[in-house]
Amino acid sequence: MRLIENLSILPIENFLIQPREWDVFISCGSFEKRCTRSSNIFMDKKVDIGTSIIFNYKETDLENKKEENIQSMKSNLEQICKCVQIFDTESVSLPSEGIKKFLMFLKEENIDLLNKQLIIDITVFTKAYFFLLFKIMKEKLNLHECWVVYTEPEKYKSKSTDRNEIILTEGLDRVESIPGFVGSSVNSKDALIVILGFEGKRSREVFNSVDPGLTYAVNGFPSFQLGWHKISLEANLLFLQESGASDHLFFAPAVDPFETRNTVSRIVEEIEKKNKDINIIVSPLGTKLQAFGVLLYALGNKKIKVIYPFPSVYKPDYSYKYGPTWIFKVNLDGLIGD
Amino acid sequence: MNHHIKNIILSNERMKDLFSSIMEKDRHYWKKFGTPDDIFKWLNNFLNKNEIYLALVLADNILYYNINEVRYLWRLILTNRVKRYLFDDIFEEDYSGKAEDITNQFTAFIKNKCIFIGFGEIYKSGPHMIYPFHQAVSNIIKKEDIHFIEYSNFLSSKVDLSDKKVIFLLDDFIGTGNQAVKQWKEEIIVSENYKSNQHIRFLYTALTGFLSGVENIEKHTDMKVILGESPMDDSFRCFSDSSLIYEDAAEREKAKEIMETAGKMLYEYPLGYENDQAVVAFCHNTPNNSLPVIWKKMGDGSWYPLFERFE
Amino acid sequence: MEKDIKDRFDETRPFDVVRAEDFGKDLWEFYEPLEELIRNISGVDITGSRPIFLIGGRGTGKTMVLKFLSLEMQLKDFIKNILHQNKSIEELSTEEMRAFLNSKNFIGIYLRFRTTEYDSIKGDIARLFNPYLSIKTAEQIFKFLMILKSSMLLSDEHEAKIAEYFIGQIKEPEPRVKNNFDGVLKLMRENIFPQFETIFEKSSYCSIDEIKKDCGIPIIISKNIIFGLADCIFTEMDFLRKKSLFILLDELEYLNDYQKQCIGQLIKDSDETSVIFKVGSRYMPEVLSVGESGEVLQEPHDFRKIDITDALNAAHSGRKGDYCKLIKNILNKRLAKSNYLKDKGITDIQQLFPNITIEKEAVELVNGREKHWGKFKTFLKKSGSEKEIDNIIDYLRYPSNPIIEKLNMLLYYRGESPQKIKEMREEYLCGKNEQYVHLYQKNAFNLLFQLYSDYPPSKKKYVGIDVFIHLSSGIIRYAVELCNQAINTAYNYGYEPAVEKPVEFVYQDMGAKNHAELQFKDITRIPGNLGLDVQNFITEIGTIFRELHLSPHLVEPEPTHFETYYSEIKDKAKQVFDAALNHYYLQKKPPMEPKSSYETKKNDFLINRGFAPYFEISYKVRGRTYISASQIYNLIMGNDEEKKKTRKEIIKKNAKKEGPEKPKASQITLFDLIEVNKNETD
Repeated sequence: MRLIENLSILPIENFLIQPREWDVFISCGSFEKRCTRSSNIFMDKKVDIGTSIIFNYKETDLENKKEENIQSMKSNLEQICKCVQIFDTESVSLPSEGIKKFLMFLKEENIDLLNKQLIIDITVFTKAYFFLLFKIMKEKLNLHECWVVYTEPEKYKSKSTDRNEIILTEGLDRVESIPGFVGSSVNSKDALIVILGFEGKRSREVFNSVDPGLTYAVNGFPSFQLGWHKISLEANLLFLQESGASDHLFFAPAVDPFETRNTVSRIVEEIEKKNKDINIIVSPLGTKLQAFGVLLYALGNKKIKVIYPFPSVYKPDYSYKYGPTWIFKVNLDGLIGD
Repeated sequence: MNHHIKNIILSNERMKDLFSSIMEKDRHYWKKFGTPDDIFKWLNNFLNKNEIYLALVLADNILYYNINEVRYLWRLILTNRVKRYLFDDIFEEDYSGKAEDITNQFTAFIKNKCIFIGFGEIYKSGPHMIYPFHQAVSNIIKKEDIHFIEYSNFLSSKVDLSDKKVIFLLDDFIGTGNQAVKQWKEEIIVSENYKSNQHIRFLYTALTGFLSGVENIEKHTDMKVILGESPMDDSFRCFSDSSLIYEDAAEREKAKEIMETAGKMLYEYPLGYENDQAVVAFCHNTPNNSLPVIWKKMGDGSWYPLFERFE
Repeated sequence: MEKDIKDRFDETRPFDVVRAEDFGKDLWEFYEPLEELIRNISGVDITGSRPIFLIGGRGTGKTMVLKFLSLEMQLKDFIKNILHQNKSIEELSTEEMRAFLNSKNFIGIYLRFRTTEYDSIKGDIARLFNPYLSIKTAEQIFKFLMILKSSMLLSDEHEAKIAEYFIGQIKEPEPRVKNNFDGVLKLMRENIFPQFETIFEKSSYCSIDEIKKDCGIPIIISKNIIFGLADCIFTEMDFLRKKSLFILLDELEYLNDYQKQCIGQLIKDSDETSVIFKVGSRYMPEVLSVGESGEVLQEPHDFRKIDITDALNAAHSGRKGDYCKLIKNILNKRLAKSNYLKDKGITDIQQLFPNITIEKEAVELVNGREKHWGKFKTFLKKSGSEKEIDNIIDYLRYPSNPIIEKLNMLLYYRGESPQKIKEMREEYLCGKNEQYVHLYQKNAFNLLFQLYSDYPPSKKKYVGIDVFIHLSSGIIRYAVELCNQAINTAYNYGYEPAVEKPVEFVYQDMGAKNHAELQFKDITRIPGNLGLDVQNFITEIGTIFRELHLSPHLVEPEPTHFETYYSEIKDKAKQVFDAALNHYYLQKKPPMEPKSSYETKKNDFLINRGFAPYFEISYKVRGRTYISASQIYNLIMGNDEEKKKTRKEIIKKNAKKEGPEKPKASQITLFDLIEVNKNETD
């Protein structure tokens, strides 16, 4: 099957049938094992890369897993890249500072991304980080197109002892607009669109923070694995009931950023048809690929505000091993509807 | 009767939780029952507290697809999965790289080059897929632009397919795939329409189904299977070792014994057609691959279903 | 277009909707006025001429109070309750509008500090907060002017003058609009706000110089817009003279420190202008700085504070009756909107959730059984024969009321003779023996808890509208949610409402417990990374109270509040403690009188009574438990061992562990054994 820009995503093994090359590869290291997957695959498939940059968050690494993973990534990439650099960014919860630091880093290292074949692995970037990363690459570095890679987890590990609840984070630091996506607040009413994740508490955090006049929800369906869409729905039942979003429930495949983008577009159209004076706020709590779909939509629509509940703690070992790795290509200048 | 079931549920925290989960799911997204009466009636089929508990576990794990989900899957199948699969057929040499072209040409392709058939005879679930399919795609492609023919007509009458490229066979669920293989070999490839139109590709589209069934069909026929959902593995068979429904082995063993005993009274395949052990139901019907304890209604009132199957 | 409550209101579940937003333009129909009650309780008039800080968390009614003061809501109320008509605001005639304005001494405009609106105004662009806020305020002012214009109260000259004044305060971007309200509003929406938004967006990845170069920075005389514009309007128009502009600012807690300072400055500057600020906040900032001057706002000189929950909380306001009435009115208004329930004859909340007496509850629990005598018999076996034991129990027995039986056992533990106990009980039943009456009233509720512990797995029931009102802990929303949980649970089990068929106790109880569990889980949602610590702390306190409830000696029955020296709580422990207070998981209550004259008054705090079903403790405000600041520190910051040790310490100190005293030779009165707590209100 062909990889069609802005339309399809493919399993990476199906795509890398012939040798490929890219000028710059950006990825991120973390305690999750799946962060090493893409570099493993590239090495196996003898991909040719010019410069590789590995983001290293400033965060507690109690069991040294992040360090090990980053070293593993570096070792893989050194075999196929001309240059591998580890970039020490800020904490996961400070994307603005982290990305500003990255711009300085690019300048200092004389790395020019303009007109380069760029590929980014978003697997373990936090959503706020890759949102802002793509924003500045588009606005400041004139990025037009980019390849994106993502590796699913094999499964999520952290379950509470009662009711099989999946727990990925704990506590709440703040609910805030993602920098660069502050949208428009010119109207007095807000409409909130939540891309549902496995943790209903986070949907409620966002909902209580915004206190919108109208709420829509998008469930990841079909999900990464069969039946997971049930998990996210059940986890969000209270949110759906409190917000009234159970009457405005849409779907988008968990693994497809383009369909997610289309779904968000349809929802916004529906909202604006009925309510002329309403601000649109989106909160991407689902998969990273769905979040990427929200990103694509928001990049083309500056009125959209994107908000995120920054947790106190990301639970270590919340994901287990790795599942399929996907690749897709985005053209930021033109996106296809359905 | 309800009182008796209620008391049993209320006497146990776990059962209260399961029951509450089922009712909340129904309220917010199944939207099938409204009141608990049908659920109580179904639970009343079971003999004692332990059986009722196991039945609640089963009910809480049913993969039920409501009308919105069914419509969405059809929409996704057509506008996403099929579009990507047939990309080269749609565009041949002409892909300009422009977004609008894909949309326009795809619509034209569907209108001019495709036939849609509900798979199987009129009493089967395939033909019943036509209506939700229509509804799902109605704002993308006009009703009059989708060319439907009945399965029996395809088999028996001469249809001009010379300028067509693809025939879509619509169904809801793929179990073992044996039925589809059989129909392919005994009905489709012996038909006049098939023989005189060897250029046509057959796409078998279904909402969901077992991976083994998909592989069976693709191995033994020329049909390509396209599912809306990811295919199911053994963890979706109710009593398999990797079952996600009864994860505890002892519980699973006990539940199997109960459901199989009851199933013997209900259907020639006590654990679902060809022992599929599925736990799936759709808003329009329940496939017979699912456990009969879920769908069978006995005329004499000896068994009341949860998600009744309509033949 | 503002939505109808009908979009969200389900007649079968009239308590489902709780947010002001969901009521849309029908908010006022469901509104139960709080201002008078608040004034009566707190002594502060929210519509007076002082700046007010209205403190209350989610669900306390704070937003409803503020919104109701806005012009739009006041007009709707006027149309419905004074004119008794059904028209829209735009249809008001000039005379009607004049009549309305004559009846009011203020015009209110409502602004909410949405977290997602102001969170990006920081760093290099922090100083844009004031200009941005001033334009937001001006927008609301011009919206109310449009309302006045639609009733023909404003002349074209008025309009031109006011518009010109406003436009004169915008130095950059240079405005090119007509001198009328439409022109001004268009300027704001199409020029000024978009410019601000572009700046906010770019600030995360561009320097201030780049922003200046790309899109410019607006130059606006904010002070003139907020105060000058109001003064201009209120002096220009005779029908607005001597009135005030209430700027109703909601959700102050979402502003950062700098932004709060700006608000402080505005409040200071509003003195002797026609502008009065009424500010809603989840919690009172510790310090209210006046800009960067170093000055702070002081109560009562600069503002008055009303804590809604404090005012409404039946715990210590002494106004339990008022609060209960308020809640019942609110709930009955919901019922009145439900044709479904009205058709079934249900018009009063007590029909759905009738109360149960504790005596009835006790009799139902015991159900003729004898288990509650078990521990007592075991105790007696140490010193008596079987016959003696039976004899003693005969004196203490009273099967019609198992609570009396438990009280009798308690008295025996405390050294009273069986004969004396029987005598006292008989006098009590004849309406005599004040001591026994007092003992019964003081201890009955806790004895019921002990009865439950004698009959596992039964658990204390939380049923009845009065109990729900207690559990709501001064937070109106809780009361509505409790009713919602109860009726939803009942529906799940096939409940069909009818006059003679209230919601069964089992479902009411399940609803209360579900609600408590949800509230407990919600603690972790406190922002600022404090949620988990607060939840752990509440767990410690709840566990302590639960243990004390089960103490056989009941030194202090039903303890639900504790005393401490708040000023001695320090550092992170104080942060956590304050977070618990700010989010109403702990609530302040007036301190109790010290036990002896040489003790100083301590600070008193109670656990939110919504948690009572979760910890299976009382929902009343009872008991006196002392927890020192260092013990609080350990409970918050200690490791598991330290927490456990501290808990045990507290429980041991507050519950007598030693065995019962034998009757002394000298006469002992009950007053020797039990202290009377003068400050008990419940």
